[in-house]
Parts: sequence; C-alpha cells; structure tokens
Amino acid sequence: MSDTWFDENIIAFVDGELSDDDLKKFEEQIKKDPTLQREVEEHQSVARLITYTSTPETPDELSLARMKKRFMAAYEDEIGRGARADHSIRLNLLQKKSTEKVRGLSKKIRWLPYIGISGIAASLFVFGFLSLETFNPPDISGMGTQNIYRGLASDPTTLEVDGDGFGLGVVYVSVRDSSVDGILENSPFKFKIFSPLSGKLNIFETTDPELETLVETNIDVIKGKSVTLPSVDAFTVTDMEKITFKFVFTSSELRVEKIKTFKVISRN
Amino acid sequence: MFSEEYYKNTMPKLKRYAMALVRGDTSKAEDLVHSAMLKVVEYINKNPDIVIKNLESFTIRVLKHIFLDGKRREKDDDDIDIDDIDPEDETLPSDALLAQKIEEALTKLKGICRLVFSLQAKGHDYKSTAEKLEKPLNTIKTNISRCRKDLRSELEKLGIGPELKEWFGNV
Repeated sequence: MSDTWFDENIIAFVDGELSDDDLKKFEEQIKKDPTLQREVEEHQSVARLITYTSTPETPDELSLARMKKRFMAAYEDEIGRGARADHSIRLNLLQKKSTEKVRGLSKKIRWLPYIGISGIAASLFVFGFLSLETFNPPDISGMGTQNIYRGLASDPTTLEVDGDGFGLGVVYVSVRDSSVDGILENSPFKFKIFSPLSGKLNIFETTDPELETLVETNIDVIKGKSVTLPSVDAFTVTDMEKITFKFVFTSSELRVEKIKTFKVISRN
Repeated sequence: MFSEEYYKNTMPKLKRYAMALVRGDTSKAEDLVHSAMLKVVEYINKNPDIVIKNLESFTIRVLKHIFLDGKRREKDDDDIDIDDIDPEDETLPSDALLAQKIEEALTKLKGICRLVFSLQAKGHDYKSTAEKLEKPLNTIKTNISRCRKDLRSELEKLGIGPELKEWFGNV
C-alpha cells in the first residue's frame, strides 16, 4: 500500500472519517504494524491537543449543571439501594490544604474534607441551603434566636461592637436536623460566623491552652456579614468530650475575641 | 472535593480534557467526566486511608484510564484498575504552558496549516474545510497530515513532546 494511502487513512482514522469497512481494515492494520500505530498516535495526540487548546476553559453553564445533576443522581441511586444507608461513608478526600491542616492540629481533632451518605447532595445542600432566598436574614444582634436555621445550632450574643454582634452557627454537612447545643461527633460541619467588625478573623482551637492551634488564618470579614468556614471541605471532631475555639477579630483599631466551648456529642 | 468550588473549578477542566480525548463529542465527554468522578469516589470509599495529594490531577488520570480502557476493550469503564494510578502524583497538563507552546509552534507553521487547524477546531470536516479553502479534498487531507507532523515536530523542539504523549497520546 502506498504512503499516500497510509497518510490519508491515518488522518481519516484520527478524525473519525473512515467508513465502517475501512475502519475495521485499518484497525487490523494498526494492530499488526507498530510503526503505523506510532504514526497514528502522533497524529492523534496533535489532533487532541488542538481540540484541547481550542475548547473554552469554561464550559457553558448548562453543561456544568447537567453534569452536576447527573452525578448527584448517581449518588442518590446508591442511597436508594441502601448500600450506604448508615451514613457512614467517609470520603477521606485530603487535599493539599487539608493535609497541611492535619499536621498543624492537635491529634484529637481531625479536619477532614468529608462527604456523608448523600455525599455531593449533602454538601450541596449546605451551600444551597445557605443561599436560599427564603433563608431568614441574619440576626446581626448576634443570632440570638435559637434554631433560626435548620440544621444549625446558634449561639447567643456575648460580644458586641457598636451594636453589631458576633454570631456563631454550626452547620452540619450530613445532618439535616439538629437541636443540639454542641458538636456532633463524626459529623462534618462548618462554622457560620457573623462578624462584629470589618477586618480579619483568625480561629484557634484552644481546648488545651498549651496546644493552641491556628486553624483558619486571616479570613477577610465584614461587619454584620457572615462567613462560612472552612470555605473548602468541612471539620470533623472525633475522640473528644469537648472542644474549644477562640475566634479573634482584628481591624486597624480593634481586637476582639470570643471563646466558645462545645460539648462533643456522641452519635451512638 | 465535591464542593461548589470543585464543580466550579475542577469539573470544567475535566470536561475540557475529556473533550480533547473524544475530539469534541460533548456527550461522550460528559460520560467520561461522570464515570471518572464516580470511580474516584468509589476508590476513596474503599481506601479511606490513602491520601490523594492532588485530587484534580488524580481524577484527570482516572478519566484518561477510563478512556483508554474503553478504547481498548470497546466497553464500559468497569474494568479499569485504579490502583495503577499513583495518588501522590500531582502532575497535570499545564494549560498556560501548553497554550504558550502551541502558539509559539503555530507561528512557525505555514499559513495553510493555521487555517486548516482553525477550521478543524471549529468542527469543520474535510469536505467543508475543502470548500471553505476552495481546494480539492485530497489536497486538504495531505495538508492536514503534513501540518500535524510539522506541528508535532515544532512542539518537540519546544520540549513538550513528553507531555503531548503523556496526556494526549495513545491510540
């Protein structure tokens, strides 16, 4: 067979333009001929690279939404089959940032990126839930009303700066209803924090005062607005009876702090 | 991992890479992304103590394995051996580097090559490329073949041959 035949068929193969019959023949030929195989691969890789560099970095919203929905449905299917109905799936998705955190913390607390039984659905629930239009507006006097958020235990005001109070909530990733005034063991959660000032927030874990550990660093905060932390992944507490956090807010003029101790409540 | 940030940042990269592997077939690309994400979740569930250093890189590698396995076996992804993938490997194709190198390489090619690639990237088949450029079909095929070889050669000169093979190679 001539070089032209090969050349034409290679590119037609790579570009999916061979007829079914020719495709079969050509595939047989590739299997037998390592040189041809290498040539096809070379064309293939260049063609893919061109497709890659000419594909927009951000797919259209519709495509992303479709993929997300489909993926969540796959998760729900697994739940439906009861395979993981004990809410015990722990996805130990340690990303670099989290790995660093693990090193810097007391061994008593594990900060794990986590997805529970409903996995994606659950973690999205948290985000979706927090962004609902019907969501009660934050009580900037300090979230003084208990249970204003579903799945969120709130703490009354104990710190005020010019009338804007510190507010603290615990939002669980995989527990939808909780009225506990503590932190559930092995239940990933995030803090929802309303800031009493505009500036920076640092959070320390201070259960053992001698082992004070910085767990969130220099988070930008705005007076009266909330931040949900950690922004990526979630916290999980294990093997502790209580845990204490110190929330330190600083602006150019002020430094205020709030210490909060939570009971750790076993789920057994 | 599967936070909003993940969907916002990583899923587009997965899809873009999948689009390259399946040469622009959106439906197949989305299937690949879906399979890769599920496979990663399954893997993590089975291996809770394994630390994946770069989840994005790992998922992309899984996606590639699924794709290649599908090509080899002409069936679904059920048989890929995810254990072959090193969870500590953080390397990824660098978009910025690739874009820069390909741009540099393209400037060294003949004008016809840039035209042909540009039309192909927009989804034109041989026939419509030939019509657009008012050239015989066979000439276009020859051009495509020659231009790809030239581009590959330029890219190798620029030192990204290995990346090309690693991320976009394999029949």
